[in-house]
Amino acid sequence: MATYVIGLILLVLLGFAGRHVWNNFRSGKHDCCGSDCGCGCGSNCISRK
Amino acid sequence: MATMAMDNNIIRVALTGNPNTGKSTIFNEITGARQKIGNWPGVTVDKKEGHVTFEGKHIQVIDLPGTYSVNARSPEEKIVIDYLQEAQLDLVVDVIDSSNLERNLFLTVQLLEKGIPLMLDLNMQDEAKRRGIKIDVKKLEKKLGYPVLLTVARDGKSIKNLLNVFTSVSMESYGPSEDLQAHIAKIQEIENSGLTGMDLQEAIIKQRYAFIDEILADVAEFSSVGSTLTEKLDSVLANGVLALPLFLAILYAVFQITFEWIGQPIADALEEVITGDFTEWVAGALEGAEVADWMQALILDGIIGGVGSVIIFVPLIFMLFFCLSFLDGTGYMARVAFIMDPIMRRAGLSGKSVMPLMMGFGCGVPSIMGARALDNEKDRILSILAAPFLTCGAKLPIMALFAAMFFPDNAANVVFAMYIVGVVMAIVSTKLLTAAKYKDETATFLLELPPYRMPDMKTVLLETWDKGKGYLVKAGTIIFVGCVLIWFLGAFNMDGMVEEQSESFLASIGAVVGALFTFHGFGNWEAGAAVISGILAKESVVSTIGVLYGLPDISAEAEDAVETAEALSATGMAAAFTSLSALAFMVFSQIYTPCVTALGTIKKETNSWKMMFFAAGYMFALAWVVSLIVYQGGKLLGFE
Repeated sequence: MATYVIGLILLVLLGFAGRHVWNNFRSGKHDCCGSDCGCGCGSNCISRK
Repeated sequence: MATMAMDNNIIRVALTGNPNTGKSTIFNEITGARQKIGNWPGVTVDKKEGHVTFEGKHIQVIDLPGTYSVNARSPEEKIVIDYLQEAQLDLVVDVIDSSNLERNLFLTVQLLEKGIPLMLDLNMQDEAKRRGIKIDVKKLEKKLGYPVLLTVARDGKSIKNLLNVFTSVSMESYGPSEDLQAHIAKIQEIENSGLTGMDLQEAIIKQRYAFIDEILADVAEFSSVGSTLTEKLDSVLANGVLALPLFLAILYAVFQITFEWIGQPIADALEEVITGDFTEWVAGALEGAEVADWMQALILDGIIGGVGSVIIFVPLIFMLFFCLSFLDGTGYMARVAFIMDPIMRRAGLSGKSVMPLMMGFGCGVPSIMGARALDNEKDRILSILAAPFLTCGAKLPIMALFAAMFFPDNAANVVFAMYIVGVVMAIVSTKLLTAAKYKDETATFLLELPPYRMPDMKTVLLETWDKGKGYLVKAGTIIFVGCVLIWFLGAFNMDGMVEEQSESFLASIGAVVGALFTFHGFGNWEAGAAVISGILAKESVVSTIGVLYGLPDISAEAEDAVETAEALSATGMAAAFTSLSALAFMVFSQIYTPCVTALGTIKKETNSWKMMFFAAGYMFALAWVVSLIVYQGGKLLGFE
């Protein structure tokens, strides 16, 4: 019984994780950092002038 | 023109200004963690919104992208002007660097010309005082007709003053002064003069600067105070023969802090908890609940072993990002671009590529996207193809794990060397591509060097969290899914569950890839499987190793060398790798095909499947060759 319960919980968690990965893939988002300029340029982003 | 907000219960305030004026510090001080970072529709420019309640009033703050003008030439400029003209706002605050008035007032005057009522926040008063600049607020208010406030972004009193102004000032009681109206009339005169193109632009800019000179002559006093601290520091840190060695020394110190002094001991403690108490507790609970053996193996070896081996590196990731954010906050990172410019030029890139490439130390994806800021196609493509060579946060666990296991006495030095390998490969690859495809194309490099300052810790911590949290999200999503998948592939074959992993699906697949590395010293199926999973996400290399060999001890401290060696032999990795083949594997992992997200971004940014497949194949081939040279060369020199 415990095996089935844990298996079900794992399936639900896998479903959530899989949905997140799929949504990222579809929308072109990524988890690498919170914002597109957030992984290393901080306040010193180059101006596009 | 900005109109009054419709909802009387919410005060809507937009922050605008040049880059590096302390705008984001003000935004962070006001909103703290109550902020949301997203994208402006259709573009990859940060949209930051936050809120705060002050004296019973709800204030919504929007941090607009920093821009020097609003000519709508770049996405940032277009966003700023469209937003300020169309959004319903109660207040637009123009944050100005008081130590650099002439340049900052250009945007101010341009916005006022467009009829946008502004509150001028003369920020960085401390810096202005140090430079001997004194501003008469009353005269400036009279000269323009709009309210002016003096602030020092990190000073709590300044923030309170700003919040007071947000809740009490009504912009309806302000309007353009006679001087400003006269200036606007002159601009209109120029526009109707029949001039066109560059001539018209030049005439307008000339008039704008004439008005700014007039303002400064009336309201500001400049007294000579000799060399500023920034100038003195720059004479050592950004110029002369010491600049590059000092940069390397600072980088080395960052690695020592991350991998020896602070990050690693925390990682060791976390590892003890995960592999010790936590695993034992879960194992006991599963045993007590009489969970099937295969499910116990999935949870303990697959999920805790795999995801746990990635989680252990969280302290290292956060420590590294903290150090980089701190350096960024001091203004030093902008100097790094300046210092690296001559080297980048020799490689065939403009110095402007340095900044997007530096993002590659965090993650390849924004680094590839950051190449958009580059002006010409050649620089963009070269920068995109160089970014994946750098050691991103996801590759760091691979380096840290192998360095700690096979080079326990010199772990930090070996990881540092891998970062250097990444940089050298990015330069070599760019040089090769430049020689093969792009010649005689150069671009100019303009970079603003902000003054040195003590970073605001709140901003540094928020940035660290912003950069590091993606790693945690990935551990709970793609790595979790990957670990379960790898465990199943490693536990089953066509006949059902296997006794030995060497009979599994994973062994069959890994063996095919592993055969490619027969002469590299790691031609086993486990390494082959790790290489494949690394294309899914680089963290998966470590989690796959975690699943296949069991979680190893990652301690890098010299006194733990014996323990590390014992753990090493216990995991079976000792038979799979020697120190030399581990080094060859690290070099291969550093250079080979980027993860699918980065590949997808290359496709998106270059709009070319051909370029994406070229990047994947080219980097794999380059990694294969360099790794082979490392292993065979090492053997020739007598290493094992």
